[in-house]
Amino acid sequence: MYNHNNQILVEDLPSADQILFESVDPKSMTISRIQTGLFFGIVLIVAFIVIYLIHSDWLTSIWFLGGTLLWILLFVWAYFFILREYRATGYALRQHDLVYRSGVYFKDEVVIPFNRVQHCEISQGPISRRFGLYTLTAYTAGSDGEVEISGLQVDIANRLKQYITSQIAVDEEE
Amino acid sequence: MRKNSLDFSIPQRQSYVAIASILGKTIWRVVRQIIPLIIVIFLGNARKENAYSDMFIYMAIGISAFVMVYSTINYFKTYFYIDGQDLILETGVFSKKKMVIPLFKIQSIDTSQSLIHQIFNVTKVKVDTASGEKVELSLDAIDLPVAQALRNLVLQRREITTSPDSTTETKVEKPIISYSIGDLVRIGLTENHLRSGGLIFVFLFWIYQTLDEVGIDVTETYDGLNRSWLQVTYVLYMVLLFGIISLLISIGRTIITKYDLTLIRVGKGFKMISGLFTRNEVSAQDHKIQFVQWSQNILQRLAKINTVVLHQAEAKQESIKQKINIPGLVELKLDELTHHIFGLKDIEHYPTHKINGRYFDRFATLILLIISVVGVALYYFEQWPQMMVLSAVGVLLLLIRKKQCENARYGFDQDYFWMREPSVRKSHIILPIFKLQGVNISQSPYQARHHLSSVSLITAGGSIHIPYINYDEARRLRDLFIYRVENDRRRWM
Repeated sequence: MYNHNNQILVEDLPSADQILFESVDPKSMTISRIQTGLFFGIVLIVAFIVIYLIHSDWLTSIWFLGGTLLWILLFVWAYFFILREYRATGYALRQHDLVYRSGVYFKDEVVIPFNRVQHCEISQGPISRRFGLYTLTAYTAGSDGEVEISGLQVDIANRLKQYITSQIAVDEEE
Repeated sequence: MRKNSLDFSIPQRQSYVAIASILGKTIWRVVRQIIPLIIVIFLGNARKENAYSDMFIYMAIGISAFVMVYSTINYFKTYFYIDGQDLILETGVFSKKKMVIPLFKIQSIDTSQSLIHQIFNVTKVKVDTASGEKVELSLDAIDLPVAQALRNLVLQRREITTSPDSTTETKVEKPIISYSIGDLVRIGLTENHLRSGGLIFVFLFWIYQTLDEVGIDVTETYDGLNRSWLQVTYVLYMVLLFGIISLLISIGRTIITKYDLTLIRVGKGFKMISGLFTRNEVSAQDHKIQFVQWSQNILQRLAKINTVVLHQAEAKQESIKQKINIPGLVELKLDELTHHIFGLKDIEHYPTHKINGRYFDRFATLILLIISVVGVALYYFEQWPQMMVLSAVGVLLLLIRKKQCENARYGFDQDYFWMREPSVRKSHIILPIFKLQGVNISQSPYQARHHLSSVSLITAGGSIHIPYINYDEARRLRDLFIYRVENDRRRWM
């Protein structure tokens, strides 16, 4: 039986509108570019080998050349898209929650209160290790609640993690 | 030989019935895999000699024999016991594995009995832990008294460690609902028959495929049948037959799975027992329930019964969501249920907001675009029957979307969020706002142009989506809900 609580006017609520979002490290764009390049390159090479093995004549056909050109154009678009994606991505820490936004065309903005964060971890992939960048993941209960911020410098990642963890602890005590 | 004992500090094995149960499961799994093969061999031998068929049979026998021996050894190597404050399961043939579950983390102990289990008075046990934990323990068969003792012990221990004040946890069990055969027939009759129909289709398709694999040409055989089969009256008979079979399947399935269904209020939670051959027992603690959903399709609306789903907090690793499905609830019982869980009534009187009409417009534009493109192609190739089907499907989709758009409603007050889902059937959701885990606002380019957005309310039992509402309204909603969550000290679980 949940009866309590005073009246709150919606106008007085802290709003996520005036938030200043922070960007992740610009080097994360380089990582994205390498990943994109690898993806497009590997698919192209595999296609080349497969077609060579099946029917080597097809390699000079107009269809294969056209397809390759289209693929390269797509790569160029994806390459320049990375900058826009970087600009659209941002995170913000508030006193009681974590806000994360992403997406150029399809925008997402998620707010996770610290008192719902189950745990928080930082991790590193093989490419991001070369650049010394980390990914911070904050988990909430259930399968849908999960915020992943990649491209953080080591000290920022650690400080964020510590801050979030301390906020969870503060909440547990109360 | 050590029998199951009530002293849990001594490591003990499962009941011997577990071997039979494990072997049965293995054999069934293997048989299911090789049914097409058996048919091939069965029919194939009559027609022509197949050199491979024998080899396949031996391989199948070999693999199943290995699996059986392995599971039997595994049985003898599996022990469970309680050490201090932990429930421990040790297992492993080649590499030892030890699973430790702190007693206070155990949420529920579910038991289920198949026919064989009932004969030997044993039960299958599933230990469910708090959400987000990897460990989940299940035992194939232990003696029923042992299982009950284990459950009581765990409940007692948990009370001592977590809440010493709530000693009335195991008070008198009071049934909320229990169904007779008549009730079950009514529930079966009002089920979604399209689903049963779908099952028949899947079954027929499976037979078709199996026969195809065997090498019987089904279409050829079909062509050989009398052409008069395709006459209108026959088609009508087929449709009628199909409908009756669907209906019978629905009722049969309901009676088998929901036989003698009883919902009991136990302490601060529910327990539901049902099933004709396999007695299933599931339990839900109030605090674990994140939101409640109840729905009525057209038939159920006529019969005035609801299907209720209790959405519980789910573990991250489990693919199956922790939902409890309670069929056939009349209005009064529904009220009683929500009253037990949330202590409230009359949610129908909540303020309501509609979603934006562009939810339909956008869909209509896309559908009409697709239909006109495909339609032009069909016109070009003069495929008239296909064009008719296409238009019919298009109109149907538009009507469904229109109805969904009109049905969608949402509202909230200080403590609760309420929603009528964008669905053709009547389907409601109620969620205590403090149970939220987070809120996501998403915007597609189309939505951004029209200052609209969709909101996802993230809970531990799954997300609730509000499509196409005003962007400012969405942000107000989010700010309010997040504020509530951050200033609420109640535990969401």
